[in-house]
Amino acid sequence: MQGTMTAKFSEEMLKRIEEILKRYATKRAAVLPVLYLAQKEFGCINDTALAAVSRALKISRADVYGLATFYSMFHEEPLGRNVIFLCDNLACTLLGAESLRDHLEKKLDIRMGETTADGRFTLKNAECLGACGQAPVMLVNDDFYEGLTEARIDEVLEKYK
Amino acid sequence: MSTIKITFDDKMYETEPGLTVIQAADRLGVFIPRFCYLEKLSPLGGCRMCLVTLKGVPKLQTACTTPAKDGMEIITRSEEIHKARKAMLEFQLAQHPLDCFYCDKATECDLQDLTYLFADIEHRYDFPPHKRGTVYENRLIERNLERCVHCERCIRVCGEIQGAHAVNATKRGRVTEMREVPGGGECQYCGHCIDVCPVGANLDRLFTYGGRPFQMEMGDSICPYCGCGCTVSLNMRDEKLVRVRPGVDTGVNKGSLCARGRFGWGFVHDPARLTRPLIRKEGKFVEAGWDETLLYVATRLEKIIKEKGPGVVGGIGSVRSTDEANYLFQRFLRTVIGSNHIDSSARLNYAAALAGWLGTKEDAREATFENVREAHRVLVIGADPLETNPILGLAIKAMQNRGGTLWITDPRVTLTTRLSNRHFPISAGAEVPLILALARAGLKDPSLSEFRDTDLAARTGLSSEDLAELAAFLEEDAAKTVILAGRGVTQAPFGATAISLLLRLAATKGASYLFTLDKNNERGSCEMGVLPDRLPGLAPLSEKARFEKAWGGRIPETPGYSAYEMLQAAREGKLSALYIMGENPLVDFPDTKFVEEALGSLDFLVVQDLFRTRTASMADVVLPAASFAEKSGSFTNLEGRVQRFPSLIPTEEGVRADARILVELSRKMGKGFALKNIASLRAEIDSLVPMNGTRRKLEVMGPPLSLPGAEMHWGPGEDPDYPYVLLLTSSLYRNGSMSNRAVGLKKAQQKACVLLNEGDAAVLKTGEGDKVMLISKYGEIQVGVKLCHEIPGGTLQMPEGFSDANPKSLLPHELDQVSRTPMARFVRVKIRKI
Amino acid sequence: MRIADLIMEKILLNRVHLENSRSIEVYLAHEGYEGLKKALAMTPKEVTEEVKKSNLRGRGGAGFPAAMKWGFAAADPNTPKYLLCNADEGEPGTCKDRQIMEGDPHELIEGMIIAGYAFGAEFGYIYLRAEYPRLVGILETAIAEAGEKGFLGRGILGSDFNFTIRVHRGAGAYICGEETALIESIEGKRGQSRIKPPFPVNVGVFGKPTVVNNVETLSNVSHILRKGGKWFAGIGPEKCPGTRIVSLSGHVERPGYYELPMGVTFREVIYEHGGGIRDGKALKAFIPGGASAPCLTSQHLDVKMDYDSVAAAGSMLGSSALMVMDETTCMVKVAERLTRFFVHESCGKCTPCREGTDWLLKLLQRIEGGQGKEGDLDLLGEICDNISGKTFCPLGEGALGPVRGTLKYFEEEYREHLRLKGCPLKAGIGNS
Ligand SMILES: Cc1cc2nc3c(=O)[nH]c(=O)nc-3n(C[C@H](O)[C@H](O)[C@H](O)COP(=O)(O)O)c2cc1C
Ligand code: SF4
Ligand code: FES
Repeated sequence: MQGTMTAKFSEEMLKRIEEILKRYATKRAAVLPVLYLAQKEFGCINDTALAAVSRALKISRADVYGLATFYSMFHEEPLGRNVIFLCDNLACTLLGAESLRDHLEKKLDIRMGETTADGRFTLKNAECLGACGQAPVMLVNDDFYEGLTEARIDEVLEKYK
Repeated sequence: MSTIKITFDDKMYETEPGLTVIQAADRLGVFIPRFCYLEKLSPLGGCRMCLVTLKGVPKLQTACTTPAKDGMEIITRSEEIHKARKAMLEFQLAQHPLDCFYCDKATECDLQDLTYLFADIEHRYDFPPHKRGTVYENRLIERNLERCVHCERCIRVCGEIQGAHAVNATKRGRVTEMREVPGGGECQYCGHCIDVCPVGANLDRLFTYGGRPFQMEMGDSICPYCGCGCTVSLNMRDEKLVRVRPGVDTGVNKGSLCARGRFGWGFVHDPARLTRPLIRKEGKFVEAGWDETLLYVATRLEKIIKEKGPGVVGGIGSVRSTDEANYLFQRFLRTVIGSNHIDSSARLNYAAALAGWLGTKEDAREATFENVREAHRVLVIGADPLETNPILGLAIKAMQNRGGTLWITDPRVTLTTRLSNRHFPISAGAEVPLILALARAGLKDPSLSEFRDTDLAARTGLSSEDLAELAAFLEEDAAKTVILAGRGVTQAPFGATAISLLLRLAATKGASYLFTLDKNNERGSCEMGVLPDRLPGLAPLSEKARFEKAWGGRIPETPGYSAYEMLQAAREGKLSALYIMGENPLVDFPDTKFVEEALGSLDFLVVQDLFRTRTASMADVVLPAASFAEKSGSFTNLEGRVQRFPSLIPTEEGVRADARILVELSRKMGKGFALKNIASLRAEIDSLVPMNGTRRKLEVMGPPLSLPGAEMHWGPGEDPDYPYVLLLTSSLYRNGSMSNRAVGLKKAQQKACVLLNEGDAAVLKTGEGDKVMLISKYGEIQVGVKLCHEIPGGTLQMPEGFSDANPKSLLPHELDQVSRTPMARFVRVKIRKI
Repeated sequence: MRIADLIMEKILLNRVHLENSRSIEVYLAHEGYEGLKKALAMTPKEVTEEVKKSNLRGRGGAGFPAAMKWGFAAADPNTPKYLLCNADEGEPGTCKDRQIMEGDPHELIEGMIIAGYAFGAEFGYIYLRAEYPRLVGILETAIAEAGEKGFLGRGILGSDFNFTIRVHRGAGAYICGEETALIESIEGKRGQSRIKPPFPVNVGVFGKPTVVNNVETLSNVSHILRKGGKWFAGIGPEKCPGTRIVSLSGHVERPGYYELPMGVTFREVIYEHGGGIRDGKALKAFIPGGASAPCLTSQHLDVKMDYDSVAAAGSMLGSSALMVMDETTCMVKVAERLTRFFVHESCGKCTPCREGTDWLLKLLQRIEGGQGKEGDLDLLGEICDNISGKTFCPLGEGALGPVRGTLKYFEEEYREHLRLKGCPLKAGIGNS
């Protein structure tokens, strides 16, 4: 493949990878944390990211690819600046997650899995976010919003640019 | 406990301990269906077809993951088991397309067979199937994702046996797909995933719609590419090859093949195959009949001999042709012509190893593939078995999988160095000082006292600690240590001496050794006496009486010229005629300009080949020869196994096997060999060389080897005009003119490229894919650039064997004093951007 | 008298309401690391014995006695040994481990150190589910604090015991909560379950003896050491003592999480703690232990909340995620939604789980959508039978819970879907 031999992490990331490697008995064990770094550095797990991870940890690109696609936190396409994970598992659905989904889709004018044209939001559904006692919930980037209503959603979205 | 007792369906059996239930069942002939289990792979337990009942255990258990224990009672047939297995099949068939009509796997498909067996299966799934399509990212292997039964055999075989890790499961659950990384590029084209796939999900793209098994003839042969000598099953339809597969877990390769073996057969039916003898008349080739041509050759040779004596005729035998043809070739030259000027391209490698071996008194143990698989440690010096001898490479991987350790010393970055547990990056050309240092540490030989360890260390580019560790590596566990050496040593100055020291080390410590051999019959051609100073069985010329008696002719007393000496003699007008059987020195020998001049100076050049190679184009007569598939005989592999194979495809009208040509030519020259067929030829060889393949140490001793002087200069040295050192490498996808005519291998890799360090590329302002000119003192070539972060700055690497850019034309041809082998592993070059 | 009244205070969540409850200072001021000090004064064997006396059973779902696991790992001569804290908390409906880690991370850390000491582990990892990103920092801060105070690192509190803890963030896969899949995932592989034997206690992460314990299990350990195994064994039922953090969700007045002694009845949890069904509606069904547990109905309200009693009632306590559904809920839709979860999370390795769950989902969708065919209900049952007992790991078995539970108690509702060619409870689910 063109360019895959030369893809690599930035110096700063390489230093962080060095640190991560110290935490594990094998190089390969560092692959999930390193994939998170790659997603940050390259925006998503694209060919370049796969090649850089493969080079840093000395595992084949196919192995990295198989791994990255197994786990739902890694994306092959770049996401919006803010990622909304709306839980639609049973506890949330019992309390109206489906109509909240409709609301979000309408409000952002995208369907589940899509990114707004301005790149501000990506909307994804989540399988149980572990906040069922406060259902319905969503996770925006690193923060939970619980006990959601349509009004609360509107309020929350305002916080993200 | 040497055996255990287990019961299958109320019948008691005894079997070896340490097996799983399915392994025990297979050994005892008890049927258990399966998709994912395969003896050579680690168990997966995924398909759930092998469910059985263990008495006393409530749930059904998978036979492939359950260890068989003494006293275990296993039920393999019951209502419950039948229902469960049927359910698994129904699940599989829910998604599997019923496209057997045009599936290449039909009638060789486990899913078909099992469905047939469970004929009462229901098909209640009435939803549209998932559409997943077929991916063609791999140029030689089609991956039909819809037919996949998720047995993961392809993934395991690619990772565990091939070590390529090029296929993996992607995504998860229902939508899991077994495929390569987008864009591919990691597959080594061993094609093993095709064979192990129980359905038509991985298919050979060269074979597509090639035929149903009942329309094909199949026969076992020996792969014509490298010294491993793999067993291949040739599949023919209407007398044409349509597919090559490994023999069923037989031969040295035990069910594996490399890209060349599997996809490299295309040359056999290449339209460029020669089909008529050619005679050069007034500068142009004209087709001629066999009789006419052979008579012409005979007359010309006789005339030359009459005028100048037999000493002006030489012959280059073939590391590609059979033992039998090589045997006849040297017999022809020695007794019909009367010349000992006999050699082959084995001079470039194996002949030097032999010179080393012949000069060594100590008898070291030669390893087998099995020894390598079971070794605890392997030390590789100057070789890249993963590229040159891929199946030997698999033996090394198997050794590692069992916990063994691979160490390698190599100035290059290769597949083997990447696989190694430890890579000692020595300086270019430092194999000999390295071996001297190891010998000093391990042999305590006073004749080595003039060398200083610090000097040697400095020359190898390793620290003295590294050298001490390498020396220590050979001290322990020697019975389970194998030393592998290759062209890095044999093509070095004093390479034969170094080989001898290595063999002494191995013998003293109790380790075994093996040489990597790029070409399939390097060993056989030498052992059949295609050497200027050795008769069949490596007998010295002093034993010639025995052969003269058998052959009824006179053999010259003095050794003849080796390959480069013949070329030199030709340039000097001392050699007038050369008969080349199945070799292409103009491409395969270093220093192309020199070779070209030499061949150009000949009065008469005969070339016998499959193709009109560059060498053949210079010939006066070209004789169209048969390929391995069209002739019978034997090849001797790198372990010394003599492996016979039958002729499986009829030859075209105008094509003849090497042996037949030689027999007929000898008749035309009035000294006809009385030979009926290959079998009688083989009998003659066996009577003269009773233990062909196994060498008789003391009887074949050669002259002792001289040591280099302590101030000897190794390596490429310095030259500001040629700032880069180009290291030659081997390629899995090319090793000679057959591979360049194989459509499959061309698909695997189209062109050669030179590997360039990223930093150097930045300085030169070139990038991946750019074309550059590499210029040495001896020649220049144009080649594309590929960037590589692993190789050190100032170093370039480039594979030999590609027809588009041949680095051999950049090389000098300085010969080693002992082995007369040219030094051909590196050269200084400069780079010009185009 | 209600059992809950028998214990005056909570055990696991007795600090979470404090201000700055996460900080080591607050933790130390409230008996923090007392258990560890006591443990280090004992031999590892004695520590294990103490926990054995407490009869602490795993809170991850299977209810395996903790001390027994440690004993197996301790007996294996191979070193180093590893302790993996299962913080994957993936079972839908469950939000208990998060409460501990968010409110009282040192409680978990102290428990891990003691467990490590008990079976001779040198390294601990917390396998944290990806969906708790903020917890990475919280846990790492707490680990650093503990290290500064000499509770972690080399020669802990002057002993010759060394122990480190690292946080390993998962990446979104429910199956990684299964202990062997979790091990694969830490090793940097696709999270798929391993063949057993060998068991993790002998050949676990990086080929070494490994104990996998749930957050809640480990968080009990410091209390057991502090107050004695006997004290713990006296709480709740004899066979399954201690408290349980119930994640209560769905149509109740006061959803949330409640730490209650094992053995309370579901009636008590739903009606007293949870305040009963929302808007005065009637209870239709409840799922007692997360998505894999078959649902129960009002006839089971007096079943006691402990592993054995719930199993006897035909379901399982699992992670004690209690999901409550009122009379407006369509049970086909419930089954469909939960099955969709399992289809999404099936790792794909074994045939029955990969193909079977997907088939179940398609049938459920068709029934719910009004295109159900005669025979579909039988087929659902048969597919369940064909999956059951044949999958590689328990995920496939768990996937049958929703279908089997709803079919068992609400077959009539399924039939009505077929008859009416649609959902009789037009409201379906979640529209109340
Ligand atoms: C599909 C599946 C998912 C699981 N998920 C979790 C989980 O999220 N958290 C957990 O603690 N245990 C989970 N378990 C149970 C673990 O395999 C294991 O039994 C548990 O971590 C052991 O800890 P314990 O003995 O402390 O309960 C799961 C099991 C299965 C089969
Ligand atoms: S390893 Fe050598 S002999 Fe075997 S298939 Fe490849 S080229 Fe042929
Ligand atoms: S052969 Fe045993 S599960 Fe596939």
